[in-house]
Amino acid sequence: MHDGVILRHLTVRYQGTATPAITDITCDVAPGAGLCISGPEGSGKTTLMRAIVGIAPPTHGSISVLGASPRDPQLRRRIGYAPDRLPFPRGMRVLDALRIIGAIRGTDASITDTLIEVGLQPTDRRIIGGLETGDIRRVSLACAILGSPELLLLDDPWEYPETIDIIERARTAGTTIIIASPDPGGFPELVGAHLVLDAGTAE
Amino acid sequence: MTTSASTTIFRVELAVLTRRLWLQVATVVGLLILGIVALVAAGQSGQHQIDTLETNSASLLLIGGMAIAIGLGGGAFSRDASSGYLGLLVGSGMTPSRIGAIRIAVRLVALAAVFVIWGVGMQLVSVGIGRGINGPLIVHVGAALENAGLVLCASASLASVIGPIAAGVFGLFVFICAQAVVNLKADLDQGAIDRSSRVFIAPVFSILPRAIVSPMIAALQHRNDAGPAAPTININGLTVYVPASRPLDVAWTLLWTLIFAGLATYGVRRRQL
Repeated sequence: MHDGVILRHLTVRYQGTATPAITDITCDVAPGAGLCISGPEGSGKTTLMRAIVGIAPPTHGSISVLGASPRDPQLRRRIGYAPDRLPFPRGMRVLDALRIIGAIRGTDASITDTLIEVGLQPTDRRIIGGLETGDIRRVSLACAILGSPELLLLDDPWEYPETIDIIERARTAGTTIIIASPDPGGFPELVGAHLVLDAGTAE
Repeated sequence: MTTSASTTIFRVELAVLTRRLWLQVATVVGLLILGIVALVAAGQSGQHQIDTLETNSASLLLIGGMAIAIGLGGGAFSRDASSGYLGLLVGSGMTPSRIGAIRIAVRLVALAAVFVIWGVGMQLVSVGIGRGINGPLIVHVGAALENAGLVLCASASLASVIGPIAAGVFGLFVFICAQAVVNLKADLDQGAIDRSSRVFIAPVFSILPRAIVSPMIAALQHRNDAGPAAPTININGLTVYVPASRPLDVAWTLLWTLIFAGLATYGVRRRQL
């Protein structure tokens, strides 16, 4: 046992579906280590990330994250999660998104510094729904890194120079990082390990 | 999560909701309708002038208020669950039940804000036509708000498990049932239907939520000034007047509203986010 991420025979099947989205996944990510998960569309990358962050409960098997169960809200506040979709409601401002995530995590980290770190304006009051997709992903990334979480989960991040810098800095700081990407590019080398999924199973 | 975190989320979500174009348009359209009512009422006099204001205000609160309540309740969860927003909140450390509670509260406050805006508009019309502040109309806005709150929470209770339109239809169905039991009880009490029906009506009236009828609506019925919110009820050739709700009715429907809000919160816990 360690305080990284431990998956044992993890199977997740969503309600109302006949086949599991992921089947019998076992892997370890040690504290401070990294993992890049890749695979084609529908291979189970996002489900695996959602299971680690506690929003897709296991059907079989077990998950330990930072030494605890991801079902525990206290534990989830130590995780920085950037989902693959564009998750913000229409009408929400950039600063509002970070205020909400900061409030939930209970961090007093500087929102303006975080926005600068991801390449956005420090007092960005724009409505997120009016932004280009790339900028929405930057907001998502900013939410994930706000308050320097102990575990960073980035689902399909874009390979911006800022993203690379953030990952490198996080690795230097000893943050555990898991990235999921259909087109991993340079991410496996950046984080140090690579898991390939196909049809919900590890190759 | 701290209380201040809940406050932050409440404040931000309320701001986001008030930026929704359909809600802004609905609120403004309501005010425009009140402007037309003012013009019509200005050309009248006596009791007829007051009845014009009260009947049309009640119709606006019933039809417009219900439409907004259905929109707010039916859309409480589905879009933001599908987009991954609720998943992001849970993944950041929020509990699904707290998400549900905050989102219901935000929607109830937004609904109340629209009713207050319209209510102020109604009073301005009343003052503008020289009738001063209309007390019964103030009470009626409160009664209509309770009915709309019931519809909002009923819609939201299913919005966590089914689509927004079906959830909205359910909310409307709940209100129709609530109004039906109140009407049936009045029919029974005033002898318009056979007393043997008590066996059926009494338990249904005791259990189901009851639509709140304000003293203003009861008075409009007696003055035979029909409108969508105060229709004349004729059963077996007898005219039935629906009496104003008692404090127990108000409390009972509030309890049902809380039950539906609780179901909505529970549904978010069960839903895939």
